[in-house]
Amino acid sequence: MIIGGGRKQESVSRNIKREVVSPLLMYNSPPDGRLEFDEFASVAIERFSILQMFETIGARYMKGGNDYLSKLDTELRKLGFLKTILCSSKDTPIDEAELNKDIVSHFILRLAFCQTEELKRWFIQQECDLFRYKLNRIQNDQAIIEKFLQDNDLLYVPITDSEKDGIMDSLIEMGGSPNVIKNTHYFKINFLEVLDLVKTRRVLVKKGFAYVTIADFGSVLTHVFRTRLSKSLATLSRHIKEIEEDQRISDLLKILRERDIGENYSDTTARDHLTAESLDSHSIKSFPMCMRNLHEALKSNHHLRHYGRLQYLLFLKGIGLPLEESLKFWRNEFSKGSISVDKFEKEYAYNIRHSYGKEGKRTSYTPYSCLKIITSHMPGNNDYHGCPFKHFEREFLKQKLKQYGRSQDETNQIMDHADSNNYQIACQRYFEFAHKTEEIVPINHPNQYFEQSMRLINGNNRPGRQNPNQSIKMEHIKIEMTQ
Amino acid sequence: MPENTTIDDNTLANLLPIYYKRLFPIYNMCKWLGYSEVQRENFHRREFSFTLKDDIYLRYQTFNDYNEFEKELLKRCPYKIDIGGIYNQIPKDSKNWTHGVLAVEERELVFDIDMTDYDDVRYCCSGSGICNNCWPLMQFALRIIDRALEDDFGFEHRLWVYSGRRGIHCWVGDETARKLTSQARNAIAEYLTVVRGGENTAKKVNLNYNMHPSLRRAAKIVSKGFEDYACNKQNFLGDDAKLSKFLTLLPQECRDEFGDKMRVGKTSSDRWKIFQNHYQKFTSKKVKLSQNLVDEIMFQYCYPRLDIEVTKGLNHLLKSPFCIHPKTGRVCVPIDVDKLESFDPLNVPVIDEICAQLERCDMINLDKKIKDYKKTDMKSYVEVFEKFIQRLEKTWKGNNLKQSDLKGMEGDF
Ligand code: SF4
Ligand SMILES: [Zn+2]
Repeated sequence: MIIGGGRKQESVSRNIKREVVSPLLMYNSPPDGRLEFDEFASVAIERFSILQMFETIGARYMKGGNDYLSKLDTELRKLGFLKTILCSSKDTPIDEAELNKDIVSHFILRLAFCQTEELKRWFIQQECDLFRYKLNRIQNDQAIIEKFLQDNDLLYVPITDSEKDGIMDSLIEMGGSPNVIKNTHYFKINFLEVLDLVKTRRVLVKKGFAYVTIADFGSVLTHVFRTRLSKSLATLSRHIKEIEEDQRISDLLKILRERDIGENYSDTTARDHLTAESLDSHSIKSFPMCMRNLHEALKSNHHLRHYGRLQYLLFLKGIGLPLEESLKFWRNEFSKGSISVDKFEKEYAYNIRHSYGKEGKRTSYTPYSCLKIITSHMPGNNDYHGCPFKHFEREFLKQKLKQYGRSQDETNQIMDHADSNNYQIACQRYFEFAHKTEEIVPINHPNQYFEQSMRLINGNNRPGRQNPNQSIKMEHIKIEMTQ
Repeated sequence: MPENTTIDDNTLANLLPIYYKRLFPIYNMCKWLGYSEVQRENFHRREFSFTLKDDIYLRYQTFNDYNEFEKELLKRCPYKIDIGGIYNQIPKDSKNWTHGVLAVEERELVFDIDMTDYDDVRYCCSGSGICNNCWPLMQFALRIIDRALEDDFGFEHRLWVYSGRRGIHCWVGDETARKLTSQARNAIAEYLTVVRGGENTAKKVNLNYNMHPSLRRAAKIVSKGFEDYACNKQNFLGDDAKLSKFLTLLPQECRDEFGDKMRVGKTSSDRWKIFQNHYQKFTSKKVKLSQNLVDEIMFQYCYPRLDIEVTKGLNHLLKSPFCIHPKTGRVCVPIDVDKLESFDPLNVPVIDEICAQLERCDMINLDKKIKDYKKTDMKSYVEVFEKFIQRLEKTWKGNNLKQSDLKGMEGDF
């Protein structure tokens, strides 16, 4: 894939060749052709927000259930994505432009998300859900499924009649009528390929093999999709250096990765002015767990170590605690411990001013995003920084959740997400429970958590950062790119 | 109700050094957990944790080899040893982790079944107590899961261990099992779960009209022992409280009807028969009873209740076989599945007894040739363990051969 610079040439739709004419894509090979840079950025961002939407909706509704599917239908319609699939009539010709966009955007995001395990896992999960969704919407189209199998060398061979006789009794036990079973093809595959069927006992399992019919192939295909995607990402991450040599691409990728496009919370001028005294009550009502934990640790130990200090300090700055208040707050806490006011002025005050851009290079530092908190600097002994959903011991996290007023049921729901490594979704659920709100508020940034909380508590709909699905601003990207 | 034994801290502290030095099967443990002849290959990346006196807890312990493990074990004499997974790098050197890269590479598929999870359906003991009247619950669990692991998933290397107090563990050592993702483990655990819902759900088992073959098999296992367990041992319909508890498993509308009929019976066994008969005949326009109600009820009382979290997590630790339970002094011994009926958890070796046995032998003759454990009640249990390892050994010996064959061929070119 070549990415053009300069003058606008032709659009994605005419210039990229796609792999197969079917909306169900395995993305085996990157498209050939030339792509205008503007378009490169815009399709990438569009797909990114679609994946975010899958994540958000998947956290709220049971995946694969009717609510889930219809919610996705509506949202995708709004965004004008996957028009062909959403069209009920089977004879609608496949929109090539749409397919191309699908392919191109997928490959761009691969670049952005292949670097760390955390990013990869997120990307794979959302792409699998998207794949599954497509599959669900075209599952009755035997032709497409068969073509897909062929195109991807998935040559499954049905078991022989005598093999079938061997498992006949079990198949009947599962509710099949002998006649139907006789006329259905069964495929013998490793049970690992159909975990969701195994999990719910919807498939016969014998000696490590599952016996599935074509109707069960949704699970099989999603598994294949997942495996292949994670393999290609692994390979890709080894080559990422070469790709990133293009400054513009690497900038775009950086933005996508940070996942908090739209605002970086480093400019505090427009925000409310908080006082040091108000932090106690805010920490209970409106801080995400990571920050509440730091606040409490500071209050009881009268000290925080390096990374904890940074994480908390910058957060406080971001929510609108002015420099003077911040100095007062830290001085006050530290002096209750073993650090004299004198020592504080010498060793710590400078850094606090520095982080507000008042000393040294005068750069204003940006508060950490969730992703940064989750992926960098593993906390060690006596450290309190990090994200509780990722870094706390499970039992301790449970205790904390209870202590913070979450019911057993809420705790379980939150733990489920934390256990499946969806830390931010765990946090999102925590937010919903803590604020007793039905609204879906994806959490990408502790400061955003705070602002959303203030918005709900104060009951004003002053636009904080809304759903990031809408808040991704093209202009922002463009400015970043042209600098 | 037999007394659950206890042991005091001092006795334990005095005996542990002897136990670890002479009775604990260190060599076999290392062989097992390294999945190779005792080499560095896997063993040195295996996580252990030690719990020392006064609950001092050391996580992320790793040992280079058999010798180092033995040395540390004798030095620390832990009250409890837990076993974790094999990491991709040595977890002890946390300084050297490149962030995010430390991961569990292999981990036995494990199951943890704990009697406390059955407290709502057993009447003899509660909490950490067990007796011969509730032990059959563990027998059901073991049989059902063991069969599923073998017949459904094809796992051949299963080690069942009594936890020393109130539960059982299972370790599956097949290579494919060790390499399962957390998702796959979760799927297997879910596949093996039918009792769902907490304190607020009365009826916790709801089966599909067409019972899955694995559940049919389980139902056969349960129904064989149900009468003896539920009626004779638990007397599960023996008084009014128990009966009304039973009736909550039925739809509200027909509880009285069934209750009246059943109360006529004198024993649990009578009442259970009356219930089944009446259920067969029961017709009503108002309520429809589940087609599988009898199985559902038996499952609610007897189907295994797994701690899914333990099975699912790759970095969950599980107590090592041959640990001494610090409260009861019992050895966490392997269970011979072929002799499950005769396994008596209240009669397993206890540390002070086996140490005494050893002492007696020392007094009579000092035969160096006989291994120490063979002089004690540990003998038959260690043999179960050895059998498990010998079968496993064949798999990696096979591997080694294949590999050295390959090397040989390379050399030829
Ligand atoms: S998800 Fe983000 S905001 Fe929530 S606790 Fe973790 S780091 Fe903090
Ligand atoms: Zn009992």
